[in-house]
Amino acid sequence: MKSIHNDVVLGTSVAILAALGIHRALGFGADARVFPLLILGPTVVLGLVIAVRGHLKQRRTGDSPDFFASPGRFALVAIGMALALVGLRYLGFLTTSAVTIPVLAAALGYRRPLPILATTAGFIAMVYIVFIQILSRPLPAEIWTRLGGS
Amino acid sequence: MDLFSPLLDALPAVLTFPNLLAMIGGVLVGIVVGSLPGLTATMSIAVLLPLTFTMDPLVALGMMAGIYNGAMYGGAIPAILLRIPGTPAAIVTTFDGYPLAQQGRAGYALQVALLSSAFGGMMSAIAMMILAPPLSLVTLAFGPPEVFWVGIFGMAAVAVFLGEDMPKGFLSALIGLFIGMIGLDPVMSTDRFTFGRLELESGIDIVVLMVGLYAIPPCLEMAEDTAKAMGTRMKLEFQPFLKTIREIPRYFKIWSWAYLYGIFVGLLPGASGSFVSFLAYERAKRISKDPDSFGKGNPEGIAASEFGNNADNAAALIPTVTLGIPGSSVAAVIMGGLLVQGLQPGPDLFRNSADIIYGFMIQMFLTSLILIPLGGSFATNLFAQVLRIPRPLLIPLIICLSIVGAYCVQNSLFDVWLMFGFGLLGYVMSKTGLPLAPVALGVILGPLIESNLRLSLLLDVRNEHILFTRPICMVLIALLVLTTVLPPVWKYIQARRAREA
Repeated sequence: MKSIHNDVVLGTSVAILAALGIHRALGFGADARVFPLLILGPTVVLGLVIAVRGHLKQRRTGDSPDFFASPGRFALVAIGMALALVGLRYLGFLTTSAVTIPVLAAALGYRRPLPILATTAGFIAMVYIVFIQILSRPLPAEIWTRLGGS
Repeated sequence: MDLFSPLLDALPAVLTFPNLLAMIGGVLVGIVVGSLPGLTATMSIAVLLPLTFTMDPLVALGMMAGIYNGAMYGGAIPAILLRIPGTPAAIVTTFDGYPLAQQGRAGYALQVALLSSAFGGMMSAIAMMILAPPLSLVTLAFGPPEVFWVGIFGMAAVAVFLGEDMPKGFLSALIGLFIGMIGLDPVMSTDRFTFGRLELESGIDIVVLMVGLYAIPPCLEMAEDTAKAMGTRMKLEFQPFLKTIREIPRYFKIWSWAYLYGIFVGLLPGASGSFVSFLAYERAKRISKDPDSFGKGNPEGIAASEFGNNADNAAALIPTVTLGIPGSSVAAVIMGGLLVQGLQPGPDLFRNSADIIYGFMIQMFLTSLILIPLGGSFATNLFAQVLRIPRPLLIPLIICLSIVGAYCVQNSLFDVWLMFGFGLLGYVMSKTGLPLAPVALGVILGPLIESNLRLSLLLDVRNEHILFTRPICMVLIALLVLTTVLPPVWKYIQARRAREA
């Protein structure tokens, strides 16, 4: 089965999303919708141009470049990152980093404990000194501080 | 004589020990802050501003000048090493800096960035010293219609010249303009595309966007590639700093254009150094003997970008000190610093506090000069070691650094999710050949373009079509037409000639 050219998917998706945006923009006040319509109108047209061009190119050359080089590894990092973002809320930034860095590195195939530990510790120390101590940037509270406080 | 005597009068006060210490300390803090995504010169000056309340005015201004110039160079460090622009102005530096780092020439790329930043900053300070009062009058000739066309011209130039495929370049620009309009509209405060989320009402922060767009896609791509490159480290070759210094004449032409853009854009309130680097890069590509190598690791791209965004440093302060109109966010914070010290920006500043304001201009020059020894020995060799970290370990480090960078903008977890979303968008764009730069520029210029369009329409009470009939507008429209029409026509003619041959 012939797969669909990336440009066809891209152009069609952009055109549909922009059309939905136009539908929403029509509900804005008279002045507030001018600029969105000026932007989204040409976006629909360009999306369609890119989709049609992609389709013609595929018909002419028959090529359909792969989107993912390695879907499994892409999913690994994307899921790892999403889990880190969830962990941020419940564990705090430093704890999440202390878990994410070694786990993701190991999952990607790097399993030398000493460099992993040294790099993780160095990163956490840098964030603690620069962001928390020197610049007083409040990072998401660590789980142990919340447990200790309750 | 009129110019040099106030500068000579101010010099002894600038060269005192506390002043020199403040400038050196400021540059070091600036380099570190600029190199960390999410921390900007504006933020660090604002954070440190209370510390300056009790300082001598010139010492306080020296520290601010140091942080400003240091951070503008610092932004290039992660841009080159990790493709994470440390500051918005460093976005363009990623185009050639990161490919050079991948070729094992990170040290050289950092040296070119350092020299371009330092000379850009010094030349900008000289422009400020010589041209501040007369150049500030240029700003007055640019009303909303002219600023609108400047923005449109910038967008079109970047969409046409930075991508290899013009429709995709324009589509990227439109995506950027769309992202830039999310939030309350600039005139009537109508909610637009916020989907009821309060966090989106103030719009998308450029730092969140650029960290997502530029830092996450390389992580995903590196991970996909890690199977082949398991445990390998990027090459790291150094060349003597003196050798890079001897290459300076090679960049004169590019620097000259970047200088002109930097001074011109610096004078326009609202337009920023990031815009200058886009314009300078586009020009450098056009005048280069080898334009195809741009985006693949041509050091001239780094020179254009870094000189451009630093040429705007002191220039952006010209309307601040002469008219009291800050040309950028960092200029607004510095203006706050002047006000705290009891210095009221405006023409009187040059009469009543000449020693301080001329001293500040000298400090802007000296802190750029100090960058060379501090950055040359400190940053280049130290920061480049990041590339010695194996890729599977580098990926989670970049992810965690991106998270902290996005979170620190507004202390919001929502921004971190947004950054992740932009990361996936950047990945899709990268895979489908949509250039990333026009998106970032669209977000930077979108609000400026829209507010000036709507102001122009409001000003056009007599229906004189002021957007099209004012002389500067007509020149800008002509340039816009030439920029968008000539390249495809030229490409068509070349293709036809090739077919005939």
